[in-house]
Amino acid sequence: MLIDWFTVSAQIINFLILVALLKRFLYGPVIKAMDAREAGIAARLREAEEHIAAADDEAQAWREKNRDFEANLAAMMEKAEKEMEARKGELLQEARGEVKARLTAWLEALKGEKAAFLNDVFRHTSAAFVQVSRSALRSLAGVELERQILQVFVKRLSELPANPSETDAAPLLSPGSRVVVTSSFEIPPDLRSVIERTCRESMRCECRFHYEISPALLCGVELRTGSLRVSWNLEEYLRDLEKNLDIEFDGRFSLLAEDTDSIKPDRSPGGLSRTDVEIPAQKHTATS
Amino acid sequence: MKITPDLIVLRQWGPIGINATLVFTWLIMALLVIGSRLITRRLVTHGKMSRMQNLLEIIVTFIRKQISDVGNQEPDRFLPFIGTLFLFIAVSNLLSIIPGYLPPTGSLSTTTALALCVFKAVPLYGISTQGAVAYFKNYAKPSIFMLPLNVMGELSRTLALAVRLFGNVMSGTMIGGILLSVTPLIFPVVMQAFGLLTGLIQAYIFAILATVFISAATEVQSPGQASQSHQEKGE
Repeated sequence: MLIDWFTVSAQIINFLILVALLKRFLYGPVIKAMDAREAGIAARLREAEEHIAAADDEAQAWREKNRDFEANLAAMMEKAEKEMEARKGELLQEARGEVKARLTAWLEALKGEKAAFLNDVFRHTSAAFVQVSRSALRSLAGVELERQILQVFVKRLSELPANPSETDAAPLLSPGSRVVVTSSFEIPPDLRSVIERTCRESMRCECRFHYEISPALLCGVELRTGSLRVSWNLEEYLRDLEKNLDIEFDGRFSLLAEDTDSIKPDRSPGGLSRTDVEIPAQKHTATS
Repeated sequence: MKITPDLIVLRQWGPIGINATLVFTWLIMALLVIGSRLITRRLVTHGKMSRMQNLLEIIVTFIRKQISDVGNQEPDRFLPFIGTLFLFIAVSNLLSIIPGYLPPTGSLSTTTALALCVFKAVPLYGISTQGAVAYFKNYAKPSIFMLPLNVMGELSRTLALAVRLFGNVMSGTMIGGILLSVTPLIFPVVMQAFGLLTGLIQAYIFAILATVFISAATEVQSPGQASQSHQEKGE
């Protein structure tokens, strides 16, 4: 007999036990794990879909922002260019004003220095001229400069018109008038008497003479009474020299001032502007 | 040569005898249960899983898919029974590659026990699904005269299940033994490898047939089908 019924019964029991054990240790845990994994995957997929939806929304928002920005870009650029041009004009105007102010101040300082320089030139030139003239006359002609000046002065006095006009001669004709004779050197007594006699003869009146020494009077003699003044000195010659120098300086300054007025802005290729202004260095006059 | 491992009796206490079939069955049971326990106690649901967990999930998924495809029903209800049938028969047959091992499925007692389990499971699943009256009415369809034939068909298919599996496994073992005595080199090895394939196919056939029988018993008629059936009766 191929069938052992005890074995059959035992195998049925064994099989049922095996079904229960595998259900407990195999199918249950494996199915549970697979379900949990599927749930996790589904949750992650849902989360990913939510993230994708959020990312799409954000991308759409950014695209709209980009469109708005591109739409407004031209207007913004135009506004910025206008502001830039206005600001550039202001800066140029400020730069021009500043250059002009500095140039004006420099010219003013230069004028002051010019005046001081001319004054020095006048003072030193007159002293040198007197010294040279005195030495030359003494060496070449054997005469004293001051004496010659006084003799010429007396001669001029004698050539004064005998009948002056009412306005000029009237105060001098009164007797006892005070006549001031100013000179840059001491007048010797013999020449003083010659001056007084010549003056009386020319003016036909008795006057009181008073003598003064003034270094400011450049190598000359001056006679004053009332409104009348008779002067004979080097100042006029030296003033002519000073006037010529002054005219020469003024000509140079006027050219420089014209140059500064012609300052024009220059547009460089890069769009920035620069001004070709060369401010001359201040000249320091050496004074001795 | 023993035709069945039932004949190898290790212990005998009166009518109770411990034979090789039972011993190897317990061995297979221990292998399946302990192996499953060792693998499933460290299951992970997130991240990287172990290879053995992956293997178990593939097997379980495969069985569920076969049940679902064949039975057109929710597979988890039948999974423990059908899956255990398949795993027990498959492991029992595959281990025959080990020298000295005798597959319990080569015992007609074992295959009969498994067929009886199917024989009992079919009405149990059917009654639990349709109810006893509706289930037993199926034996009288399409007419009451078919009742004896249906009962005979039920018994004969159970017998066919048992004998088919026993015959295939026993014949494979017998052929291997005969060839080993005739041509001891190479050819028996090829036949053993072929026997592995045959054993796996037998396990698949046994499980699929059991699924078909149970599915046929648990199939519930839809309202459309029911009304059609009533109309046929009216005619």
